[in-house]
Amino acid sequence: MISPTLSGFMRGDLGEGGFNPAFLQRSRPIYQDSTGDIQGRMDQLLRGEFGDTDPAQFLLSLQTDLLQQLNRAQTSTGIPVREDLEAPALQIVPLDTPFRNRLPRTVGSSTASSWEQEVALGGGYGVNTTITSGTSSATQTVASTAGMQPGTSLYFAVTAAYRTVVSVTNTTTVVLNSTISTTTAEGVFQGPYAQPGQAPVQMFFAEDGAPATAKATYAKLTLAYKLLGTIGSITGFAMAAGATYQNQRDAEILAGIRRTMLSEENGLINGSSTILTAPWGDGTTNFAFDGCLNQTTTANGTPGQQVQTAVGALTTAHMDQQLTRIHNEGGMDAYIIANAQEALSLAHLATASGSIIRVEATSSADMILGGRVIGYKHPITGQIVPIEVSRFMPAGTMWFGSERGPDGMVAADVRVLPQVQLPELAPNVNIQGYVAQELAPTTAAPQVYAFLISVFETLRIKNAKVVAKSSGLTPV
Amino acid sequence: MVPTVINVFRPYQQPSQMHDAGFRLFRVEDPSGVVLPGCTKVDEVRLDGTMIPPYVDERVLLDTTMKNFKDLRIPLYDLIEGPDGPLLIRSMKSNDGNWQVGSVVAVRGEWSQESDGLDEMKQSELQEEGVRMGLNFPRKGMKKIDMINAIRDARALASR
Repeated sequence: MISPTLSGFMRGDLGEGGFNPAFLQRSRPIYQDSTGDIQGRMDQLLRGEFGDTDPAQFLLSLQTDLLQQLNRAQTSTGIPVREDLEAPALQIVPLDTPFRNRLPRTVGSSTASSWEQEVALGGGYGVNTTITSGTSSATQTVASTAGMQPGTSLYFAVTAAYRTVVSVTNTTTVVLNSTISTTTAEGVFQGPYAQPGQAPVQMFFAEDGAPATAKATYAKLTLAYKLLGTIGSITGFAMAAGATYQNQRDAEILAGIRRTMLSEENGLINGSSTILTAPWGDGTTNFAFDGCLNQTTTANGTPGQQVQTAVGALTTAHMDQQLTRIHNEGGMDAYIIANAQEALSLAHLATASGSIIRVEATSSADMILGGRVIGYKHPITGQIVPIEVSRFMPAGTMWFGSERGPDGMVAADVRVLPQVQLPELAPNVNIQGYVAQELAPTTAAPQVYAFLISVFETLRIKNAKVVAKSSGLTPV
Repeated sequence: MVPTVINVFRPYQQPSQMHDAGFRLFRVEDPSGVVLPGCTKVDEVRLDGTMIPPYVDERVLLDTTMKNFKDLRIPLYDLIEGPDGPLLIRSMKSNDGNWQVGSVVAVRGEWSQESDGLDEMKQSELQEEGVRMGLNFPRKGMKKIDMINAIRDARALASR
């Protein structure tokens, strides 16, 4: 799994028959001698000069040295040496981390990730105004009635409710189908839900005229990278004992990667930037990023009705509502992250008594009782919405995500700060970002070789309008 | 050495225990509201045994700058006067304002003296009351809450 040349310890092929120092590799690639005149041998290759060497052997030797140099380039970009765990991390994905596996892992830089979140496309359609003076009435005064006409449904951002326009009295007064209690300066949009990009400016124009100028609006968002990792160790005795059958250090490193990935899944779902206790902090200071559950809030721009509380028994009607709202916000390619409890509820909804699909029987009378729900038919788009079951999602909670927003951009990703040099020819690929770093043994325990496995990252929900959260679901 | 005995049994909660704790149980028949005869104040609501918090606190955006907020306390249920008496309605923030039909809503609160008294009756008394009203209650297997609901429905029909 991990190249022995990257290991800081003795080679696995050292048997019990005797110790030959000549076979012992240096502990770290950074201290290795040059692996030969690669440029010179490349020139030889171009000239076809192989001397007395068999060309195949020549090429094999050149390839080995080249790979060793590449390994060194990836691991010796700084002190202390960081061992790039990209390859082993990729080999053990997918792990039991469905949410983590689903999110793109993009390459970041600096100490924090900043981006401009598009909050309005500057469109020319819809309604975008505010309440001039809050009141409880069916007649409301707004800054402008532009875009409104009888039948238009209006979404009131603070009360998270909608009403239908009965008539437009003048440029600032509108009559609704029923009373609503509004707040001064409350945003009013064309509904029935908050939808981005509304700006009712003139788009149709005369041949000797011009449409109105419009521009998109962005909000600058910044999230700092957070450090996530684990410290493991292996004793010299364990390494020596395992040398004849399994590289114990590699096994411990892999266990560390798995541990970190599972913690990452936990963080991406439940992470809290306010709780001080472990695993998010040391009891005094918080070091974590907010997971998807804590980022799906009205304060982050998620419409109020998309955050549902104390829902009770799970129903397909409720799921339809959430998916419909996400669709109305422009979310594309929805998916659902659920707990096993909700996965069971869905199976029960499909196969419980009264259903006609309880048993799948064959002509030979073999029967399979029960079922597993792997997807949900989107009530609007008809797409199959994947249902990912993560054991880190709290029981009773269901999170609805979208792959992309209405602008076609990725709705959420994990921004990873690389710790080692990336391959120059693949600057925009997804990276795992894990590294191992050896820690010096102490005089109190010189045979305990510790190592740190770490990743620097943050979860970015780049479009909070196309996600939804339901909590307080009870089993069905 | 004698091993320590620990309690590994699942807690058992009878409807009567809920009643002793001051709750009255109602089976949901209409998703838009639960009629609570004689109820004057609601202190706690449980839906299928799970408490519904009286409110949630939310911070909402006031504009698209994502810098101006307002803190709101949003109630998750409310007791209003409905056409058939006190009506427990649900917030649009909680299952879109719908009570799941068939689920059991337990309510602890204050009740007027004009309460129909069914909640205080024993199951055997409800059985007798049902039979007296001509309802076909089975001798076993019928839950108290369903008996109460059936008697209330029969009384409402008789009063029309």
